[in-house]
Amino acid sequence: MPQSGQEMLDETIAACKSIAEGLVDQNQEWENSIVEIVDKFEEVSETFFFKTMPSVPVTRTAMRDAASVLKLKNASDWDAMGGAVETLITSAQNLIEKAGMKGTTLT
Amino acid sequence: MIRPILITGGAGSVGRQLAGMFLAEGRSVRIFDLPFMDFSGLEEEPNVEVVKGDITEKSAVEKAVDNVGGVLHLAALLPPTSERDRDKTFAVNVEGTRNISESLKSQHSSATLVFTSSISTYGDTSKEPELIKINQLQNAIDIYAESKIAGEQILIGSGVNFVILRIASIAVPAFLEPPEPWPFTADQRVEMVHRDDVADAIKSAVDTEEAVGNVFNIAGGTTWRLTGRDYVGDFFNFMGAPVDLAIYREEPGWNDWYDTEESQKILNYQNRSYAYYSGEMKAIVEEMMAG
Repeated sequence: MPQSGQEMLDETIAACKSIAEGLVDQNQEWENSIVEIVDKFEEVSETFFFKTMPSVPVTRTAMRDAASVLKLKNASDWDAMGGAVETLITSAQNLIEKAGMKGTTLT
Repeated sequence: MIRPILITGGAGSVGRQLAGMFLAEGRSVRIFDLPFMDFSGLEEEPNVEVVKGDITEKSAVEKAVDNVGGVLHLAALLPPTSERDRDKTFAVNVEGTRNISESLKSQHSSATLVFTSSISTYGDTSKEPELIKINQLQNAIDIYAESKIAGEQILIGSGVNFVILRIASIAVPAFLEPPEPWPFTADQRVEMVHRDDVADAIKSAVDTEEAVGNVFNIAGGTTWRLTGRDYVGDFFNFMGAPVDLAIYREEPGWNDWYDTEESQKILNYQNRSYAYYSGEMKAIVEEMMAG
């Protein structure tokens, strides 16, 4: 059975937390960005959006980008890290924006 | 010179939509809203006049009402905000309406005042076997509805040219959070109305002489007559979310099916069927899935 948006978000948060561990020794800005992403993801993690199908593509992109960053970190490939973190920030921003759905059908 | 149409609460989404409809016909509008609202995109428009002020302040309202060709009175505190402070809700929804009515009267204006009321003023009608007509007893079950009933009464006795629209729950074709709980039970009769049909009804009400002095139910029409379960089931299906997440009211709320024969005959606003809305929702979700 394919993963739901919620499951992918949980996996993404876990990956980001692993990325953030000890990253401050390498680059303070990267660490700050990843911690901020985790905070924002946790803020929106209970929203209805992650129960819906439209959450799947955007969350999958963020999950893959987080996995790429984690892989680079584990390989200590610091040259490629900056670009990968930027890509993750972009996909995370896109996801946070979409998850911030508001309003209802009522007056 | 053609006098502008005043839109109270005009900086909000429905107000902007209505402003756009009048501007598209080459007509001018006056937007009246609280000073802290976002007026971007309005102040630069050539046929838009922005008046910033508070509807509870008579002097501000008098300025807004000066020499208008019609008034679309949208400004109100809505649920859930309206349920937190009864005095504040009555100040805005009732005294604000009185201020507009009295300002029109003191200026000897013949402009039509369109008042956006609500079908929630009928309260729980779940025991009624027939469609709900405008002569149904009003029986508010929340502060908002109570304030709308009081607003209606002010206008009916005011001597100004009014049209009262009792508007059903509005279906917005957008990817939005579902309410928790839905304001009806699963088995309850539910008839919503498309957002754009509401805008058509409001515009038509100010433009149609025959509408003056009348109270109308504004709802989607026969294609929108569903049960709570059907509506919510479709909503969750559009979203691709499990329907068992839906939470309904335990006791019947204020939704029902409405007699809109007269309002449709005079205002001709039911232009978007439930199937049309469903198609819009599916397209929105497909677009999100694609990108």
